[in-house]
Amino acid sequence: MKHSKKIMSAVLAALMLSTFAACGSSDKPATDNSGAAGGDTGDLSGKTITFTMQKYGSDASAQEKVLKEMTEAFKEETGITVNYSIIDWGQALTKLTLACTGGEAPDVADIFFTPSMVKIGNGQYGPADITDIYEELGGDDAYFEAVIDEVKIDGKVYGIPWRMDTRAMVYNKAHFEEAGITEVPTTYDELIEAAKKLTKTDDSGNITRSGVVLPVGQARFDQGWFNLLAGHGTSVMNEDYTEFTFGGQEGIDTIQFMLDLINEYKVCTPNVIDPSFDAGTEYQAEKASIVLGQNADFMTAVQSNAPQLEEVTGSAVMPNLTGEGVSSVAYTAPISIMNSTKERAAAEEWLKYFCSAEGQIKFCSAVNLINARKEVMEDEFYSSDWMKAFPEQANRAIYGDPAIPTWSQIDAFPNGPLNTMLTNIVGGADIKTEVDNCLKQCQEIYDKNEVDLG
Amino acid sequence: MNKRSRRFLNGLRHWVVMIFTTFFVLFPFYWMVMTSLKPREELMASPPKWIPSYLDFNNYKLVWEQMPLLRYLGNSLFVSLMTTIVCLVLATFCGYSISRFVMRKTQKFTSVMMIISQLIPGTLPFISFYFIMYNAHLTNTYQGLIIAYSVWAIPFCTLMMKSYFSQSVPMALEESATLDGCSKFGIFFKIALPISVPGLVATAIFAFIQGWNEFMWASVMLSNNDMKPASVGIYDFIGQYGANSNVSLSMTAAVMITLPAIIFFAFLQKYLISGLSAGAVKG
Repeated sequence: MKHSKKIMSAVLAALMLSTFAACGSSDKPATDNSGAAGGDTGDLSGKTITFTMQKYGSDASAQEKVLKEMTEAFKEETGITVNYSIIDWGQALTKLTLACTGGEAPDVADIFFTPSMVKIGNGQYGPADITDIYEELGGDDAYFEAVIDEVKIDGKVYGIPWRMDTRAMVYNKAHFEEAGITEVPTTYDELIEAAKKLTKTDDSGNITRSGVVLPVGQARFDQGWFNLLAGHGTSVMNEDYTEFTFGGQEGIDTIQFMLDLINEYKVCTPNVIDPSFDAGTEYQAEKASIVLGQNADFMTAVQSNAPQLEEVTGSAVMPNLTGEGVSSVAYTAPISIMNSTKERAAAEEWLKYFCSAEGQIKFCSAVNLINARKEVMEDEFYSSDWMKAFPEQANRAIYGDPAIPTWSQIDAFPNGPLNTMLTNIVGGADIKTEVDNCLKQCQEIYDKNEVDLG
Repeated sequence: MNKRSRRFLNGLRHWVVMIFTTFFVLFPFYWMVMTSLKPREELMASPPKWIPSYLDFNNYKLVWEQMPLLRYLGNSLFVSLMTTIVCLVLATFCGYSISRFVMRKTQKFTSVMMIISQLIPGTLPFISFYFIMYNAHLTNTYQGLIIAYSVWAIPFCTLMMKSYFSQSVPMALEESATLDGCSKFGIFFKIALPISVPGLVATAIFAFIQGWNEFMWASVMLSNNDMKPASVGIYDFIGQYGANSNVSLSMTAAVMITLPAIIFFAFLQKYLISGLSAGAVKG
C-alpha cells in the first residue's frame, strides 16, 4: 500500500512532465538564414518555406488535396519544401495580422486589404515589393483591369493577383419556365418585371417565394450594394480614391432601388434584415428564384444541400441600368512574399510556380474559383454551362475594394460606417440622414489615415 | 379537490415541466442527428421535414473522406486528456492546501482571486496571451494548447476540489491519523485522496469537457491543420463566404464529435453529480 501511493505519485508527476516534454513538437520548420532577403539565387534545393492561405471552396478536402499535389510536384522540380497552412476565413485576418505584427509571418501569404497590410509595422512586416515578379508573370496586360489597383501602391506591386471574386446572377430555370419568362433580365427594369412574375405570396400577401433576393447573409448588405452601385454607373469612391462618391444621386438611387425591391415592388422578402437570413440558403430552399449575385462555387453548395436544383440552376451576367457595360465589382486576393522572409529566393520560386497560368488553372479548377489572370479564364473549365457567365462578368466588373489603407475600417463588418448605414437604412432609417452621417465618418477615417486591421 | 386528484395534478405538472424541458434541451440534438441522416433533397425543404422520408447513412461514410476526422478526434482526445491530468494534479494539491492550511484573511483572498479570474471574459487577455505564447514558442504546439486550456480550467477545478475537501473529508479523520503518527503527505495520499474519488472524477469530467469543447484558443493558436482539434476541424465546412456549404456533412461531423463526450459523460455522470453536489450543496 505504502509503495502503491509512491508509485501513484510518481506516475502523476511523470504524466505531467510528459505532457510538456513529449506531447509533440513545434511544426515550425527550421529556418535557414543563409538565403537572406533578396540574396540567394543559387541552388535552392533543401530550402523550406512556409505558405499560408485562406480556405477556399465548399469541399473541405479539395484544397488540401490540390495543395498537397502542387507542393509535392514543386519539391520534385526544385527541391524546395513548402509547408502550407490553410486558415479558416473567420480567423484569417486576425491570424495573419497577429502573425505579422508578432514577427511570425509566413514566407508567402495569401493576403487581403493589401494597402492596409503594407503599412503593418511601418512597412516592416507586411507584404514586400514584388514588382519584378509581377512583370515577369505578364504585368498589367495579363490581369483583369478590375483587380490591378488592389495590388499596386504608388506604382509598386505588393502582390500577385490570383483568385478573383465577382458575382454573377443565379436563377432557377424551372421557376422562369413556370412564370413564362424566356429571356434572362439584362436591365434593372427587366429584372423587376421578371421578379414580379416570379414572386409568390400567401393569402395575407406575405411573400412565400421572392422573385429576387439581394445577396445578403448575416444582414450584411455592402457587397450586394457595391454591385448595384457599379450597375448604376457609380462607385463608393472616385477613380483616384480621393473622394467618396456614394452620396451622389446615383448612390442614393441605388439604395432606393434596394428598398424598392422590398417595399414598393414587394419582390424581395423583408426578412433580408434578419441576421439569420442567407440568400443562398433561401435559393436552395426554393424560396427565391433569382439571387442578385453569387460566387462561382455556389453550385457546389447546391449539389451538396439541394441536388434536385442542380439541373435547373443557371447563371447569367448581372443586370444593370442599361444592359451594357459594368454590372458588378470584383475583388482579388493577392499572394505576396512577406518582408520578414529569410528565404526570399525560394519564396519567389514558389510564388512564380503557384501564380503561373498552369498552377492557377490546377488550383482554381479544384476549388471552383474564378481567376484574375485572363489566360486562366480562357481555360475550358470556365466554359461549362454554369461557369461561362463568370469570365464575361469579370470583363464587366470594376474594382470592389478602393486601394486605400483605411478601407478595412470603412468597410468593417458589422460596425464600419458603410455597413452601419446600410443596415440602418434597410431597417427603416432615413436615407439622407444616414448617408450624410456615413460620408462624414468615412471622411474622418480617411483623413486620419491610420491603419487598423483589427 | 380530493387527495388523489391533487396528487394526480402535482404529478401532471411535474411531467409537463419535465417533458417541456427535455424537449427544449434535446431538440437541437434531434435536429443535428436527423439532418445527418436526411436525404439531401430534403435538407433545405421549406417547410422543414421533421421526419425524413428515409434514412441516408451515406454521410457517415463520406465524412471520413472529406475531412481527417480521426486525426481531429485524436487531437481533441489527446489535448483534453492532458489538460485533465494537468488540471487534476494541480487543482488537487492546490484545493487541498487551501481547504486545510489557509487560515489568515490574506491567504483566504486566494480563493477570491480564483473566483475573480473566472469573471474575466476569455477574449479580454486574448492578444497579450497570444504574444506570451508566441514568445515562448508555444503557438502551433500541443503544449501551448494544453497550457492555454489549463490556465482557464485550473481555478474552477481548484475551487471544486477545495469545496470537496472542505465538506466531504472529515477533519476528525485526519486528526486521528495525525495522532497515529501519519505525516501531512501521508494524510493527503492515504486518507484525503481515496475518499475524494467522486470529487476527483467530477473535476476530471469538467476539465475534460472544457478541453473537448474549446474552440477559441485552438482556432487562433494553431495554423497547422494536423494539430486541429475536432471543435475547430468542424469549421472546415464553413466556406469562404461564411455559409455552411455542406449542411449534412457538418451535422454528421457534429454527431461524431459529440458522441465521445456523451459516452464519457454517461459513464461518469453519477460521480459528476455527487462530486458537484458535495461541494455545492454543503459549501
